[in-house]
Amino acid sequence: MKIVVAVKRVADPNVKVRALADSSGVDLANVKMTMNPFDEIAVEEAVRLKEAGRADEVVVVSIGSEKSAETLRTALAMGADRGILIRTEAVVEPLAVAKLLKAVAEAERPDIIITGKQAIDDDANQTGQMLSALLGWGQGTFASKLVVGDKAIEVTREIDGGLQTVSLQLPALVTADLRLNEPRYASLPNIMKAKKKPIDERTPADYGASIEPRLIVVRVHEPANRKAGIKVGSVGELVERLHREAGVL
Amino acid sequence: MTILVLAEHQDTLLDEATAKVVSAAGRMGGEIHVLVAGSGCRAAAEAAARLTGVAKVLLADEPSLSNRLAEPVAALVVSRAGSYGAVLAPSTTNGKNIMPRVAALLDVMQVSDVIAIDGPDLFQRPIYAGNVIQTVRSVDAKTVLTIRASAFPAAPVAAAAAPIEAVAMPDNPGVSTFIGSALSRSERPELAGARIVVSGGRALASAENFDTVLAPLADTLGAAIGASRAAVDAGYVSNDLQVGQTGKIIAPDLYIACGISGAIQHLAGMKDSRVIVAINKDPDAPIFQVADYGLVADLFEAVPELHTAVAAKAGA
Amino acid sequence: MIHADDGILSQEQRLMRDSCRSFVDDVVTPFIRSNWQREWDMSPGERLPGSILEGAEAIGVRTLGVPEEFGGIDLERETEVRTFALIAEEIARGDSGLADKLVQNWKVSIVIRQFAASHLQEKWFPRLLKDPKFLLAHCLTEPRGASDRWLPYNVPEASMHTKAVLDGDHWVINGRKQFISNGFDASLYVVYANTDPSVGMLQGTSSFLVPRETRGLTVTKCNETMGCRFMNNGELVFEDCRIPADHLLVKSTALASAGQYFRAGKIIQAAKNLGVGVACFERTADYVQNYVQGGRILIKHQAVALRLADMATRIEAVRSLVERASKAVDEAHPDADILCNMAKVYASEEIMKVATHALELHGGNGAMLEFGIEKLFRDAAIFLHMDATVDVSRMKIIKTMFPATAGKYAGPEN
Repeated sequence: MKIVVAVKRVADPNVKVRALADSSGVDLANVKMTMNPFDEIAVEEAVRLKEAGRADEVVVVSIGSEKSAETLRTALAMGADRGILIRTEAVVEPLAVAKLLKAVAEAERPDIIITGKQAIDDDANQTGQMLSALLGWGQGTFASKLVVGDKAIEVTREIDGGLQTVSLQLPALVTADLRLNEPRYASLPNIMKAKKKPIDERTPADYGASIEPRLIVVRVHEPANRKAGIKVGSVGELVERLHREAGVL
Repeated sequence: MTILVLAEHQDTLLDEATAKVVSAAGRMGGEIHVLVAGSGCRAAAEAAARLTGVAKVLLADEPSLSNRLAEPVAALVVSRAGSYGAVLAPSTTNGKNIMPRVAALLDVMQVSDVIAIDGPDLFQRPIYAGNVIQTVRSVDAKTVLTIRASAFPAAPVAAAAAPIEAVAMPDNPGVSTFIGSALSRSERPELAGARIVVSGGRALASAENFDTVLAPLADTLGAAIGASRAAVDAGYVSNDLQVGQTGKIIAPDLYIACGISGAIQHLAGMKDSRVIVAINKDPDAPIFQVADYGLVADLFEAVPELHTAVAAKAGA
Repeated sequence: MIHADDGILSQEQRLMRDSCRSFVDDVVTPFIRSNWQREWDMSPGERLPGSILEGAEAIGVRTLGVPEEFGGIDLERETEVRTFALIAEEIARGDSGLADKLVQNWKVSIVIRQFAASHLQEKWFPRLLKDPKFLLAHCLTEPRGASDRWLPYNVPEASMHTKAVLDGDHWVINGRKQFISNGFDASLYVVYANTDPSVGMLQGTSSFLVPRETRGLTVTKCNETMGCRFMNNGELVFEDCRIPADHLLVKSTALASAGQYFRAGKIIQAAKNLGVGVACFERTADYVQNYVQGGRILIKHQAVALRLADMATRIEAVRSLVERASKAVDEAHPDADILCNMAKVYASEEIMKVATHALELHGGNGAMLEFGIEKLFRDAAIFLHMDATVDVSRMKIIKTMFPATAGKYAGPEN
């Protein structure tokens, strides 16, 4: 069984990203970058399936600048076998990512594709669903548990109000939610060993997919700060003001 | 332009999120149709028909739609999408699951989690956990949107009901099967959609105090309970109650922060609340910078007192 | 700013740094913050839970310096010291005592891989790798002093009191070692002892490999220190301690031959300081941007902002020197000895100032044990003395810069 995992390089979740002064985008100069946390969970799950003997090979794919090779290298240090870097400096929207990954899937013929449920930069939460639609596969989004069989996979999904379990015919697509696993750290010895694992470099043109954007970013701004209100002197005053002024009681 | 809204519902009940998406659709201009897809869901369709602004309800009542699996629902939406200029759904887990599939099948780039509609093709949406707002213009022939329901008012109930038209389910792609579900049951409203939220921080000092100090106030107000990350990390409440950048992002009508200092990460999860009340004994706590009403007091005295006052008001 | 510039690091170094930082942010810092009492537990074995060392093991930071053939890490030798510095800084950013525990293993592993007979490497490296609690220690300092004692006077009278005498096929060690990092916990020691009382320390000191269970070796106490308390500093007594002759690592010139160890050690020491400084800065920057005084967050008060700028400037200056010095050590530059001592002394003094600012900017909170800032202050303070005092470091700098004059025995001019 082969598993393909898609990973994205994003700004570190602990960084407070700011809008550029000219509102054209966000300021990522000197911002620490890391693997999208949900993608780390996706890699971890694939590596665990390999370690459990369910999968033979884990291939990681990333789309982005040459720096995305570092994100792939992290995945290789976590235990993936080889990487594919689709190099482009352009902003690639989820739909275009899905089209490129579809082409990768047609070449690699994996049994399972795992992606993170969303990238924490654009917060779109689309790529996995779009990819499975384009492939005509079933999708197990927001997964918190996987049970992999020979012909099908059971995915427990985090939905509003609880959990839902679905069975998907293989090949299938899974998007990883927070509770699927706790990803390992890439250990120092494995980082050195990952240096020897192969990364195949491609371009979007190799896959014949258009990455022309469909959304034009008109403006990027920071939400207005809320202003401090008043201090009340007592609980009684608070209740009174909530009732009469604010109308929420 | 005619707009199709995919309803969020529990078959017999229509979720308020649907009414909010209908009002969002109203800002795009055009006739609004609502698609209710489910099994035994006529009651939800009837409720949708009575929302102001809805011209027609499409009812797909099929056993195969009972659990809103993405593959059949997306196939259904795509089969109806031809005559619509826009397809909208709330960014609930169902909406997030189904709509990108719809968008890809229509070869459209979806706009996710829209918080403001500035025109038929101009949308605002949060990125980077809401630290930044992006305004985008879609150049696709159709638009596919998920809507952050808490950012829009609910469409009110209309006097007259719109017609309900039954629609047929296309072939189920058949790649997925429902196995089961386990839904958590709580008497309290769900944190994400609650009108009032009472939230506690590390100052609560124990799990018991959440139950004995916060819960009575929450229950009297019909409120959900939330918590800061510090309280979650200390093990006072479970993960799913965490409000903040890495937890739930909510915008209730009233948010009461008790013993929460107001770290930036927490503010990211609640600063869009309509009215914020902060109760904290540290007069310099950053939470007061965003609170509409601040009360400098020991929460262990003020919260029970507030509970008594609210209960008296409810009884009066 | 404040952190190392990605541009000067290799891809592997960046990934290693990131792994260490995640480990520190996810595991070490939360433990230290919520268990601040633990460092004051008077049972040394109870202070740092095994899970932290196991976590360090999981990211592979306990066994740097062990050759790859024994299952260690194949670091690029030409940038090894820079990598050590990078990782020591990251771990110390979480806890300098933990960093100290781990770096002793790296430093002593270098000595063993360089000087121990291959059958001893084959015996001990696998044991080190197998047991997450296996620690190494380097025993140099004695109750009567260390480099402060012999550096000015390389004469027989200033030699080490611990002596080793060859008796048949065994060396017999007698003496006492004090202030030994990991001394209380280590499983294997490198011990320095006088083997020729007729010459100066630089010519008459040998080094030996001594397993903890060797008869005649007693670990007498755990020293209660002001900082780095998660590293158990110990005292050892040798009474007719017999070790096989092949456990001799370097005969007579052990101190001179240990140059590689000492240089890496100074860099690692400075890097740990840097980690403490970065922690001071991060904690303080966060505090002054959230804590409100007089209706404004602290950072908007100019006196606060200026101090924060001073902290940042000192950290950057230390970082620049540490980077230059570690590069010099990696490249065996002729000035490496001078530079690594400069880095050590400068880092310890500057980060002490950074920690003082941190303490002050936190107001009363800075003095509270549960707030964790005074811990950083104590950890910074102990570094002034660790691995040579600042004054001895300065003497080494001058003696190395001017070997013909300052470097000579400090007697009357002739």
